[in-house]
Amino acid sequence: MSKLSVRNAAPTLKSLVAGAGRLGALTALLPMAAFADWRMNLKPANSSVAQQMFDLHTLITWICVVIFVGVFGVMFYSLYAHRKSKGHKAAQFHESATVEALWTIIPFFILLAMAFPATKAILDMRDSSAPEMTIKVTGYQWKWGYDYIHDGFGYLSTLSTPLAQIKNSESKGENYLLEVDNPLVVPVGKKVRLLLTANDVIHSWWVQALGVKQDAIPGFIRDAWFRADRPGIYRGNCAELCGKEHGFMPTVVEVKTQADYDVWLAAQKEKYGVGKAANTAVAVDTKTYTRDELIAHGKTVYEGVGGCQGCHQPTGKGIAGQFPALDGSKVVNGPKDGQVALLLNGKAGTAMASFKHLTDKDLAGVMAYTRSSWSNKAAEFAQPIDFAKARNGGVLPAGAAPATAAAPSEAAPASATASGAMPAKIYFATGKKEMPGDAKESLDAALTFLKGKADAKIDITGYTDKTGNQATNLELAKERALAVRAALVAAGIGSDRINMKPPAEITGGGDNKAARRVEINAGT
Amino acid sequence: MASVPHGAPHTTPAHGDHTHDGHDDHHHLPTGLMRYVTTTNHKDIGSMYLWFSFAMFISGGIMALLIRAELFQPGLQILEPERFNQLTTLHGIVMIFGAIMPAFVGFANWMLPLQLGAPDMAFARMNNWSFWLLPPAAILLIGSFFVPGGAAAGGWTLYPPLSIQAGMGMDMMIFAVHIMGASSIMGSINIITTILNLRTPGMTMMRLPMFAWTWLITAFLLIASMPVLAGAVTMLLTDRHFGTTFFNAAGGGDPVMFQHIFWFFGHPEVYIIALPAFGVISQIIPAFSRKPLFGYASMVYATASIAILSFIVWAHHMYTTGLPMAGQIYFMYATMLIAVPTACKIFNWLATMWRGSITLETPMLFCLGFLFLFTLGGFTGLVLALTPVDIQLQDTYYVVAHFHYVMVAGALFSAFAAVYYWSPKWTGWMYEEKLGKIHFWWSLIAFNVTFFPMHFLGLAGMPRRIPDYNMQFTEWNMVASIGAFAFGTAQIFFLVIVFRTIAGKSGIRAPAKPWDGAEGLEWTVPSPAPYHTFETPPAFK
Repeated sequence: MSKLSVRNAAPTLKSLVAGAGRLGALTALLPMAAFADWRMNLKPANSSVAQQMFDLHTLITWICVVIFVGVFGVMFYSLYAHRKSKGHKAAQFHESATVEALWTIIPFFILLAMAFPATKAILDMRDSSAPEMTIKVTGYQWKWGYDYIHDGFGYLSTLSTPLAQIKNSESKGENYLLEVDNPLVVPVGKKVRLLLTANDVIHSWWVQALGVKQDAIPGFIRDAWFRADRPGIYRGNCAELCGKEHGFMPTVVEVKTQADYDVWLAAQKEKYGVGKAANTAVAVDTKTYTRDELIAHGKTVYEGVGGCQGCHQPTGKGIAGQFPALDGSKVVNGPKDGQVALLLNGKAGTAMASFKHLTDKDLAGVMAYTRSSWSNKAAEFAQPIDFAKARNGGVLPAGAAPATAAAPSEAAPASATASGAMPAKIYFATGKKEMPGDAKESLDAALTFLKGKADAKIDITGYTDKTGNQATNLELAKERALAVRAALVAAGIGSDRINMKPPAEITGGGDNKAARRVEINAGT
Repeated sequence: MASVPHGAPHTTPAHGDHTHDGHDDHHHLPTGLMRYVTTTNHKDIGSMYLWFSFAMFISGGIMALLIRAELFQPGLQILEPERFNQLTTLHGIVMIFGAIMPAFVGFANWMLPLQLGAPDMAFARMNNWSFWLLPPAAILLIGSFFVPGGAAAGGWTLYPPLSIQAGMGMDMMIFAVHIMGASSIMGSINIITTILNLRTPGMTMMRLPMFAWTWLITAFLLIASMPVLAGAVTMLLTDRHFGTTFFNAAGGGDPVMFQHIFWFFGHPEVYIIALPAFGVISQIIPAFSRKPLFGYASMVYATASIAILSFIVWAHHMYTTGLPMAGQIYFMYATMLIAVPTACKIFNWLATMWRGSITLETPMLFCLGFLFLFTLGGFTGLVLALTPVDIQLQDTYYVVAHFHYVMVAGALFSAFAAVYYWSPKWTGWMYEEKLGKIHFWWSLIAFNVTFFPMHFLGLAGMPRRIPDYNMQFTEWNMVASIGAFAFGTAQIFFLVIVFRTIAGKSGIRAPAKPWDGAEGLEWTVPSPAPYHTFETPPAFK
């Protein structure tokens, strides 16, 4: 790879000739060519597993080349020597038990010889025990989410190649389509375990130099591991067709020395506010913008890298049958709350992902832009503060401090949204009353709140989504609330401090994850 | 007239319920289009299958060339990514279900009754229906490009949840798959019944022509695997429209289950395509080596072993889905085992040539091309069978190279061999040998220029099914695209050869047996074969 040079996008006659020349060399040097540094072979390995894969491929390729040359040597000799034109008379033999037994048994033993190192490599590859760190990887259409689950932060990793390069109006950089805004960062020499899942369709996380390719499957968790031998930047792609932008979803890993990694880690924790008390002020953009300001800002988001126009098109017409048109859309021209919820939560079962990782101002901008473009003329539009409220169950986060207008709020990390603050919310799986695995943060927030003030009380209210009949939902909502109460009681809170408060409206109107919740509010 | 009772001298298979007096078959035939709509004659139906297959081959080929044109250089030039995905998806489905499978059913229709000494296929009307199901399926597939949302774009493997997201093009594809599956199953039942019941007296199972043997086994594979595919796509359909959650974890389903079901069909499908090709090769190599097929019995056993093994290796397409480790190891061993019977077949063909009296007419050349390319594809298959290596190569261009080596070489080259070998019997004219040889060398070279570089692209890390790529992959992609256009034009040249042969441009009328080394009952009837043959069972020594 060191011989890579930056090339122009335009094909040159020279590169064509070079390609043809290589092909010529190839037919002459077939076995050798596979091992030359002409971008014909696997990338140099940067982990012991990748090295085993590399060596195994080399071994089996050579075995195949030797057999191939042997077999076709015999065939070409026969074609040459046993030609009718040379006067060769056909023999009439047509079977031989010995020969046939031999050429059944010999391949079998060759296969055994191959199976041995291959099995060894599998045992190694699948041994993800005793990891030194664990990162959760989530595939989205079309980006990767990385959650450092023990360090309490996470972020998204999106293609950073400008659209102009893809559309050929700018010359392409060396890492064209293999570059992202935020790579996965890991320390060298540490056994890193990845837990992979996906949000929408199946993706596959692949970095060749690290010897990892693992499908990320929605609704399931798979694991994989690697231990990088050398620092550096290692690039790959999503390897499972995941829709329109499948080719534009790179996987980039930056391997740092331990010291550099520690510096990076500290910076990230600072950036995402990890370790700060749960109810410290959250920066919220409370400024009121004019519609034109928001439209101008929204246009840059809509048309930017990874922006809305990728699916909904610059014309707002979408792609019929695939991506809905925004031009004339009921959501875009309807009440603002509907569009706010859609942007924050996405729509299950479609390519419309949650965009809650964008800032409130970005989202408000997109909303103002889409409501004022093409034939859309919706009167209503939202301010950033509307998104801040929607993120927090309709109220401004406790202790929200007005931020200066110049400093938009930080991108919320994928796993740490609204963590800890009261009122706390716990989201349940469809139809389930069992506490979800990620309930701890919210429970902790409630505990912190209760332990902070000896006389404080809380209200617990259960909700369900709008699917299902009312009687069942009523029961489910109650059982969810009871499950939360049981958990708090188990944590040492007296049941007299917990007030079970029935909701005004069980379903809350929604049909998404946000609707299936239990809310813990400060008591009245 | 459900079947033709064997040995009844006055049976007239082509005319349904007409009563005939046995010597006057032709003047009741409808003419023009209606002849083909109503025909129950195996030769007419065989020809229709072959023309249909060629039309689909050209359609799928145009899609391939659009794909290669987009991939000629980095950046997006002529296709939007969504359209690109539609083309890769439809290219796969059209080539497999529209081109390759109907081609071999066409050969079976034409040649099995002639090889077996039977007057026609066992179920002559069902034969008509199995063919006429195909054009509607083709219209659904090609038409889906023009509906809102365009054609299915989730890959020919149709993996959910991606295929759940798609527009109505996906439903059209599902319906087309159902129709083509029904057609295949009917064709298979017909072939099995014909081979088992309509052989001429004296033709025992172990004296069947190899082409009949391989088709017999293939037909069983089809009957066993097609309903599985039909089930899988039906579940997709209900997941899409009727609220089921077979493949959705949120409702208790599993997207990976689709892959298991799909590949339980998909891997036998590979052999459904390859086995009849093996049969063709096993007929042609002895003819041009002027020497009997070496190891007839072991060929039959090897074919049967391959067929059985093909049902227990499916998850080697799924090494990266996170199978249990024991699963990865088991599927690796089972897959490697297929190399044994496959190697047997290759060795048998070599031994057939060994000390023969070989001539290199076009059918033989295509057989040798088949051997060369299929063996190469077999070796890359072995490389991919090794789980740790496959982890690096799964869903890259290496896999694209691998399956084109086995599919194009395995199916297409042997189909060309079959056309050149049997066309004298069909048309009554010899093809032009010189043109045939040009077609062979042109195809062979262009094929390798197209697909050999894809091994390197895959190894270097280029994923498949992407419309755009990093510049490090530019050169080999350009070479591949140039090769693809050369390969495409070679097939237009082939069409010219076929037309010239039908028009008798060679000026050489085909004798009943144009190949001096050929064996079999098909060479005992005149060329072109009369509309009705073997109305009384021929003698078989």
